[in-house]
Amino acid sequence: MRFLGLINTALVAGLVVFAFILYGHEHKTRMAERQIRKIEAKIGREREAMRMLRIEWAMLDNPARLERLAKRHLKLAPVAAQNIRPAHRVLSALAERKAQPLGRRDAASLTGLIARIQRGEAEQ
Amino acid sequence: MSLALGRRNGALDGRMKLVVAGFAGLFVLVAGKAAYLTLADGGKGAKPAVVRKEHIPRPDIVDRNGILLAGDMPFASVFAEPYRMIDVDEAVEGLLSVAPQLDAKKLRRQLANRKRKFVWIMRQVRPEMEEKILDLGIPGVRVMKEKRRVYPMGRMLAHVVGYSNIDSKGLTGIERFLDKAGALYTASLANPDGQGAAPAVLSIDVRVQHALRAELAKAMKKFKALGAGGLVMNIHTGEILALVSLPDFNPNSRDRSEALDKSRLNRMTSGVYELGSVIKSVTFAMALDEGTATLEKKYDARFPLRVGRNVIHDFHAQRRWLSVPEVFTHSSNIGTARMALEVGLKKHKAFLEKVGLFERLRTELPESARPLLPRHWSTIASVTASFGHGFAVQPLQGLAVIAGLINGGVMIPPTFLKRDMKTAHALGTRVISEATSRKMRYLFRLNAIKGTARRAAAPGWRVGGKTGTAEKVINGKYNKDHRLTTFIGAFPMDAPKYALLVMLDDPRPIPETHGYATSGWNAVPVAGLVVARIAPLLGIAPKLDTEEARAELARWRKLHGGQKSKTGAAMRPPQKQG
Repeated sequence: MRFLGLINTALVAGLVVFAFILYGHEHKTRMAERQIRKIEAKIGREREAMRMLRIEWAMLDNPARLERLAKRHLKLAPVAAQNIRPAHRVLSALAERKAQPLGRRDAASLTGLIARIQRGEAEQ
Repeated sequence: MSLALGRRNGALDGRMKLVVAGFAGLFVLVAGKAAYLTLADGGKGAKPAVVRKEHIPRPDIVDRNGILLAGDMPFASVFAEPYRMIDVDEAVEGLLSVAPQLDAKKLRRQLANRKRKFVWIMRQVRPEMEEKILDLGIPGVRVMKEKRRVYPMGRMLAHVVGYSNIDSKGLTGIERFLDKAGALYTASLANPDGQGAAPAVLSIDVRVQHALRAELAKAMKKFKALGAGGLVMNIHTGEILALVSLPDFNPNSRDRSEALDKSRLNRMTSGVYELGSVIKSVTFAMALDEGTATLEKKYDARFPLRVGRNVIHDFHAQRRWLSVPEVFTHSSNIGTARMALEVGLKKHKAFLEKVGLFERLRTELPESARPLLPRHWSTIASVTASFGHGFAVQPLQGLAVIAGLINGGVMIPPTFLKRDMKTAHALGTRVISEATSRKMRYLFRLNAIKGTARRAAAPGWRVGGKTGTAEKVINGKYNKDHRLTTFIGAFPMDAPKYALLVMLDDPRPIPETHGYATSGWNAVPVAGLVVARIAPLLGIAPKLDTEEARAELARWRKLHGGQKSKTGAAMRPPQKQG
């Protein structure tokens, strides 16, 4: 009889303990779920932000706008037929020039040239 | 002993049952509660902080290179429900801490009114702001998510892309196609998991579209035209790279009165026009393919041609016998009419039907007009139709037919969706032989070297084409002073890849054109400018080392000025002078 009572007490105790453990897990799951919802909302917001940026990008990509900006800031013109040469012509023209190793002075003048081009001075 | 035990046991039996039942009940209770907590969400049915106002998702629309042409833009609006608020002061303080631009007094007054169910706090906020506000966690402050269709390219592609209404229903252009005729296509874009959709890829190239639009807008101003239109098409796949119709409208505007204005409709597909002499190319292709004409044959163009009660005159009258190429380059009505008469009434009609000029051309764009045809197919109808009078078609139709005559003789239905060579090949129907197509290429190029289209002259790009000038019908009568000028051509003519159409509605004569306002003086040079701009974009190699190219370069400089030969800047006068 005492044995039976013992078992019952153990069962009840076990039950209570397991109930607590279960409750603990439940609580954890609920926290995790809340976090998932939060992250999902964040992902959603990021997606939306990406969409916004994509649309903004497309607006910035508008060729009419690019043309306006290019005209204002660059000393460049649309490519004309005269500006296009086949590769073999360019190569043969290069071969005709004397091959000169790039000395320090040349390098310096080259940097100068690049700087001038960037300032938009070199037109030729 | 055993009896006593048994009795004790027996006495306990009843109580034991009770205890067991009690515990069983407890077990069920605990198990039930555990099951409820785990299986059913223990939420108390709280209102979510974010409300999504869903509408039917629409796929994005992109051009052939993936540039966005239409897309849904999400935006969030913050609102409050004062009747659910707990602490108004705290709410106002919180809101002001993230959005200092809000009016504190007004906000407090609005939120303090407990009877109010709904107050807008901020409309259309950015995602960062939305997140900050939600992080505050103020009870009664919520966010509504909405979507709006935006068109980043604005007016530039208004006619092709079209627009949809607030309920996300496509009303015009491709937007309507996605809902109606192309519903299957739209469904094929959707992702199986329901998350978003692949974009609809159009055949349009925004760079070409912009170049065409910019040149047409300039021309419209220069020639004081009422309207202008243009098309660029890949002749081997039928893909439309650009469609411009001016004046156009802003698809992003909430006010649709501009879009519905009749003068702003899509001239290229929803209007029909007499294309005039451009149609002569069709007559030539027919006669050459039938064998009734050869390139060497000559036709009598000495006198106007009498057909019944009507007399056919030439605009550029030569008053002599003309060879077939001369009939083409002088755009002789008499010669062309004679060629059509030789082929015969029945065959002429059959050929026009075969190339599709007698039926309504349907593409993805829902706006398509039925051609206006002669009521009775008589000799005079055949004669006038041979030089493009007395019947009107969509300009796109005209371009598609010419493309078919030049690409080797295969009619390919035009499309606004990206298409590959194989698909196009399967859709094509042969209308003339390859040999005839080669002859047509020769005639087109010849016409641009020394014929009516010589002012195209885009140096190095080998343009070829045919001009057309139709008198506009005003009050039911042809009016000599108001014209519709058209140019349909292709480039590079030695191995054509792209066809283009330029159309001006009622261009006026200007000093620069010496009082002329026919196609060769306005539509043709504009086409030249367009080709010079788009050919490099389309990856075509120029040829400048021929006699023809040098002559073209000279004509080009005379037309568009520029002495500093080498740079592109010299090719076109700067903006301020133009």
